[in-house]
Amino acid sequence: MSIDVNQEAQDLVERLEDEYADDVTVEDVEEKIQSFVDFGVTGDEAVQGAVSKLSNELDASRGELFGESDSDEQQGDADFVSIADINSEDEWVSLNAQVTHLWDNDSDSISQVGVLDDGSSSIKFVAWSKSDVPLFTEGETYDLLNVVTRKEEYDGETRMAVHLNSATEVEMSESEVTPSTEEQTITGALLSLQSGSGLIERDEDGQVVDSDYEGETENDLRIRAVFDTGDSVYTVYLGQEITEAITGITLEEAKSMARDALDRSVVQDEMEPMLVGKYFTVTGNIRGDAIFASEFEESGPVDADVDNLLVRARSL
Amino acid sequence: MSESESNSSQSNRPSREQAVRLFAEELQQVVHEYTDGDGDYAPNYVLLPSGRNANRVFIIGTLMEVEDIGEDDEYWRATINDSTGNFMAYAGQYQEEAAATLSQIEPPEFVAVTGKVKTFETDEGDLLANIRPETFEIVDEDHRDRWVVETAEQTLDRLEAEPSEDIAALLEEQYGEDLDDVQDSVREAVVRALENLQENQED
Repeated sequence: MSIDVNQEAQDLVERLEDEYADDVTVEDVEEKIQSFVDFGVTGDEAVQGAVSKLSNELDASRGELFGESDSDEQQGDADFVSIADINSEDEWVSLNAQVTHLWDNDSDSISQVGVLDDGSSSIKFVAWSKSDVPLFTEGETYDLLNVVTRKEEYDGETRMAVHLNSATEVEMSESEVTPSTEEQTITGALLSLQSGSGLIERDEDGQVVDSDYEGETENDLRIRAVFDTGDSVYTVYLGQEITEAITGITLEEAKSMARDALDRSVVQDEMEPMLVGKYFTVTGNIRGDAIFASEFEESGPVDADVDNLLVRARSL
Repeated sequence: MSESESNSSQSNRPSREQAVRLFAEELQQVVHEYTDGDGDYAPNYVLLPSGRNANRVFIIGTLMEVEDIGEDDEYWRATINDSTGNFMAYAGQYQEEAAATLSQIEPPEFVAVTGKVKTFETDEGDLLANIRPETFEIVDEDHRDRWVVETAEQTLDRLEAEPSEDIAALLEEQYGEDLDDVQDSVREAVVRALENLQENQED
């Protein structure tokens, strides 16, 4: 993310306490910020880098330079948020997340770069060398207090990231996080099909649309169902391939069923008795209460240790 | 699957009540129904003697009998046995899907039923709990067996766990000194269901 270095420098000088204002020029600050920008440091971190240099040269703390009310220093720690809820930049937040991946890093100004995941979603993180946070270990979960949200552009796509800077504190976390990107396998009962199952229509962007939609559409086959383990309730999504395999109805057959009946909903009606009230084992990514299935199988004969359960029931 | 679909599934609607697994014996021991919160849409619960509440249940058993007991409109009563006792399920015009299945089905069959628990009071003042089915489908024996094992496990989990303070207070208030006996009948029902499963598997 590029910044207006001159503007940042002017802003910074204006915020200086009077006693330092005469010792520091805009050009001087501009040069300091630019030196970080030249090293690939962007945005607020470059400004903070310049502040650190100033603070060293003038032998004054940030508080002394800018007065107590300086807004870049957090008043207490930022609130904990879910990664899935991060959607605007320049917010101070705290996270409880697992470091799921560490990426190669050949920049001196960056100590580590990788991926954080808190079960709701994943996000890229950048830890600046000057942040002084301890080195992360892949697979460990941490509390990260006071990180800054950023927008980054990749191949024309905007993605969110978080940056760890000198205000960031990191602690090992007691809690276990199950990463959202990790596939899980769950057995449960499929209790009902939700509307939008069977033969559906998608618009050019892949969004599911109803029959009133007037633009170009393409047919698709999918299932959206309530999946219940007795303890938790999920919405499971089965794509075309799995839907065809589990119901034995292909997209072409579904289209001809709908044509004969002049009604798309006959496809869902046909699928319901095949699936509802039965136990299945699903493998897939879990996002919130949604499971996106990569595998979906009807459960076979029960293989539980009934003797053991009987011992447990009799001895209670 | 596109992003917007995953987002829409996480909208701010209240989360769906999970379907409690329980044997018929435990539903027959229910003596208390209550509403949690205010307003027309506040959910209804029955107090389960094993130590939790239930709004929705999921059962699998043998359909024993189906009868249309409606006077003008169709109103179906289904009797479903799980080897510990009978569940009663009632389906009328507002349980369209279940009623459609019940109008065609011929007992006996293994059936899977998901629905809300309702109660009514007899002339003698006893509370009878039954099921208002949302779905009613024929399944095979493997699914029935899996349900028996899962229901046994989850019922034992409930009996072994310490109930929440609210539930503990309700249990004390509703069952008093009978609580131990009632919980023992639920435990014995688990034993009966598992023994029955073992006998079927040996055949």
